[in-house]
Amino acid sequence: MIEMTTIEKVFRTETVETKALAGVDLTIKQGEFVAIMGPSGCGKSTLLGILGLIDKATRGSYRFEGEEVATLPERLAARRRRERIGFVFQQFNLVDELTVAENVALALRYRSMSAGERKRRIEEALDRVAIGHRARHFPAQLSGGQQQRAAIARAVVGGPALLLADEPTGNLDSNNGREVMRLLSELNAQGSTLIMVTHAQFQADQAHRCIHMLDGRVIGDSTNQRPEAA
Amino acid sequence: MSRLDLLIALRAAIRDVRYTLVNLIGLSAAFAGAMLIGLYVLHEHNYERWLPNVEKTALVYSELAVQDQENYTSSRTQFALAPEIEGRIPGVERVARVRDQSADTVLQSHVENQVYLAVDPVFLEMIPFPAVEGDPALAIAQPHTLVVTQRYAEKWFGARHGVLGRTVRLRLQGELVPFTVGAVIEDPVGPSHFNLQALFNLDRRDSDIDFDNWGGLGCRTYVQLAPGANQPAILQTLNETFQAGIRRQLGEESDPGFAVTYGVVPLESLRFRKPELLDNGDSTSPMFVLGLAGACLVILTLMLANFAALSSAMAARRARETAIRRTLGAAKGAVGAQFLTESVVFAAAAIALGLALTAVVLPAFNALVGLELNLAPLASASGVTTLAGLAIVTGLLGGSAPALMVVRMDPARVLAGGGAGARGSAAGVRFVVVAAQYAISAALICGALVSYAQVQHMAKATINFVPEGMVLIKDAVRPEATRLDALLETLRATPGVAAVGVGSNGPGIGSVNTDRVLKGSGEGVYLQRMSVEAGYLSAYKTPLLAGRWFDPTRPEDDALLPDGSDWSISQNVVLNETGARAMGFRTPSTALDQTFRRGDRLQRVIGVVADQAFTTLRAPPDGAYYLLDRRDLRAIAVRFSGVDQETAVIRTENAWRSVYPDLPVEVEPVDNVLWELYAKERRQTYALIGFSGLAVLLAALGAFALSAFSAERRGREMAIRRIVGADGWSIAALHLRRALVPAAIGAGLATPLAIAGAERWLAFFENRIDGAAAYGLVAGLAVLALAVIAASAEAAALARTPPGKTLQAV
Repeated sequence: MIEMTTIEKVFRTETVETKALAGVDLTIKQGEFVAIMGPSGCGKSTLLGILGLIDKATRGSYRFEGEEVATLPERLAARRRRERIGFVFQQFNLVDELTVAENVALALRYRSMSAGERKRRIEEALDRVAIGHRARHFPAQLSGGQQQRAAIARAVVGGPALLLADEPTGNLDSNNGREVMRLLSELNAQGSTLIMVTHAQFQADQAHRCIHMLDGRVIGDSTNQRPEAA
Repeated sequence: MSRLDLLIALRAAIRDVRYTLVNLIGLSAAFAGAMLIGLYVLHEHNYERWLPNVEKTALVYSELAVQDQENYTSSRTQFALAPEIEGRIPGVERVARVRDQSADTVLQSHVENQVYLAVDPVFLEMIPFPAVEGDPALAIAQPHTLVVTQRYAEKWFGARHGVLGRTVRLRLQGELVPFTVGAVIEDPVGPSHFNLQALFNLDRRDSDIDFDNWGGLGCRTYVQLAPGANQPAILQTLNETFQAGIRRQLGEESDPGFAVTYGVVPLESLRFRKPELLDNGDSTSPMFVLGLAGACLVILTLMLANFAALSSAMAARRARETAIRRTLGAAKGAVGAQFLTESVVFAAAAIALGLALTAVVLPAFNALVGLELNLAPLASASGVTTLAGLAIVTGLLGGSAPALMVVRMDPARVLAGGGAGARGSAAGVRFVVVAAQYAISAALICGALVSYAQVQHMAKATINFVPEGMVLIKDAVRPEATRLDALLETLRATPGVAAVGVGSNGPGIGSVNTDRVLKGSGEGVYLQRMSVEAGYLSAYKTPLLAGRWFDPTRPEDDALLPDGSDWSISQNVVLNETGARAMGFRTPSTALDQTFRRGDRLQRVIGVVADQAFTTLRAPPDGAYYLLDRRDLRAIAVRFSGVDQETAVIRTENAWRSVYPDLPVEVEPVDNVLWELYAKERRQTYALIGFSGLAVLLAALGAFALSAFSAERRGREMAIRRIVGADGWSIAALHLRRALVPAAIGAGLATPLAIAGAERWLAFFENRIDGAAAYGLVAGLAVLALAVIAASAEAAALARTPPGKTLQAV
């Protein structure tokens, strides 16, 4: 599903050049659950941004579902994002001005479908993460766990092939963290490829693979013996 | 724009209600200002253009050159011109004369002075006003027949139609002549130099005018030109016609002492090309109109800059939402288009609000500019299209900056907590825009202060007479001069009357007689001739600088000598101060007992009085001499003591009616007359103050936008400063200092220029205020204060917000 070859990402200012990714090679198969670990500043989130097509690599090749997307025009990259990719963030990143249901609907805003289909998908996504009863609430009226479930509903409502999660439990207590991990694992089990950046080893242990990064490079790629239950 | 987009935009607007309101108020106020100016400029632009056949019609005007005097341009020509050229000049299809004629109009017991147009019948063929009833062309050809507008019909007969055959009586040549309504035409639908109320035939029998005289300018002459008419050739023929006419009248060898050269100006461009020819008071300088149009552009530009700046600040606060949209698959173009659409919708809402504001302010604006503007042009198809276009253009231009910002924004960075990443160059542009706004504000404030002070000064300046307690009967003595003594006696016997002064001239009366007198050396000097009655000086309380005033008991003081008198006896006169100087006397006292010659008669100076400023302080006073002469007394000034103004007017009117029950009278407090003298300056000043206020409001909003944007961008920096030890006060002070920089630059650059401009404007006034620099300084300080006020809310917020919260938010 994903083939990255010598991916580099350089951030430049007038005087400083910072290499966030220094030649990353990575292959991920359809349906895998991959955890990315590493210290702060190692390039995890940058890699996630490139994987999710919200950032572009400075150099290298990135093939997504067999298509070279490293140099994809913004318009087509946006299309891939809305049709094939879902995001979950540490800070949830819900739109404060929209209710839970409206936040989920926002993910379908740029796709053409009938109103009935849209409604059905939204209700289904909310039910999947068990937040349907809070559909008319605003993010500020929800707990952190509920917010993250709403964010997950938004990420999956479009039926993405690839789910990217950037420290999805980082702002949650342990109970809510476990619940979110359970949900993500379920989604992975239902067929979505899941790539998750995390600092927590116990979460990484739930993935099929764990990739370790340091200074913009992949320094380890191990396969986990996945436990039966989180 | 989807429902979700609308919801987000609305809720974000409500969340940032302070920015939203400031933006909406700024836009609406600017739109309202622009609409008011637009209506005014449109009104001026439409001057005469609504007249039928206006594109073919032109006014013939005269350039009068009199020996030893400045050339004078008049809208009038000789009555003799039109008949001479009718049908004789190729390219001139029709010629018509028009004379403004006011006549006492009597209907039953109601008497009122009414303005009429006395016209050649061909005038209504040249400009065929739409008829409501009757045949105007037929009616105007009949003697003693009126063609009236609907408003005239309503005023005099209480109905806008159905008045054919109704009669009023007009006092012409001292006789009341019945005039019958022969046709009714539609009311004027636009501004014009024609005082169009009612017309009648320019009939020789109703007038004492010498229709064959080439020496006086008495009527306006209009020509209807054929397409492609050769104007230089027409002008040449016109001028040759005058030469031939004046030679015929005076004889080949006589020197008339003056020359007339004609010009032709199309009616369409009369308002802007020859405003000095407008006799109806609409002589506001085209520069003022252009200046207002320029002000409109400045206001719209400032508004756009502010709108863009505030919208950018608001968009920056929506960076996360935008980044989320991008991650959810929104293309850059879609996000940009969303912001542009929001911007257009916002601008449309502001236009609607601006329209409502315009409707509220319009009556006051009308009072200010002395017009009756209405909103009809904005409700017309072209008006609505213009407003819609304005909303779209404003929305697109004002929304392009935030749209560009969100399009350029890096969503990954924003979602990682990196902020919207406002570009330095954009912040620099904002800084320049705000500095420019401060500069414009400083200049306008300085201009408004100086202008206001000058108008106040003019109202209170030394005019060498005391207007308080005085009322004026204008144009008092018409045919019944024989009853003047009775009137003066009645007035003097009226309770509260302290003095009555009668003269050929008075406050606000512009037409004066000018004589060429000869100094002892034989050199000619032009002096205004002021015919007065003996009580004149004491009534006006004008200072006597030397000698004495007229004494009715001394025969040599009276200009009217009994029949058989010795005309070699010198005539006693009084000079004004300027007149004495013009005659070569260094001081008032040196003028006493000196003589000069007027015509055949020797004039002996018995006194010198201070210059009375009756009409203007813009120009230096004219030299004048006073004669005790009761033949040309037109202005009666009545001084009251211990009586309020209203009572004074009523008592004066009653005294008049007891002597002249059949003649209308116009009595006005002299204070009001003087107030009206500077109406033009006052209107311009108030307009300047109004638009300065608007510019200051916009500048304040711009400053607020910059302050908000700066606070948004520097929130993190300020939080870090707090963490490393800065207290709230020093953070607030730092923010205010930064806000003051563009204000100081703007004010520093603009104030000297504004002072220089103000001094140049003041130079037009003979009697003017000093200290434009002080006003400039006040304007500069006001702008600095404005900057502090605009930034203080954000400064206080920065000082109050706990640094931890800011850092978390960022």
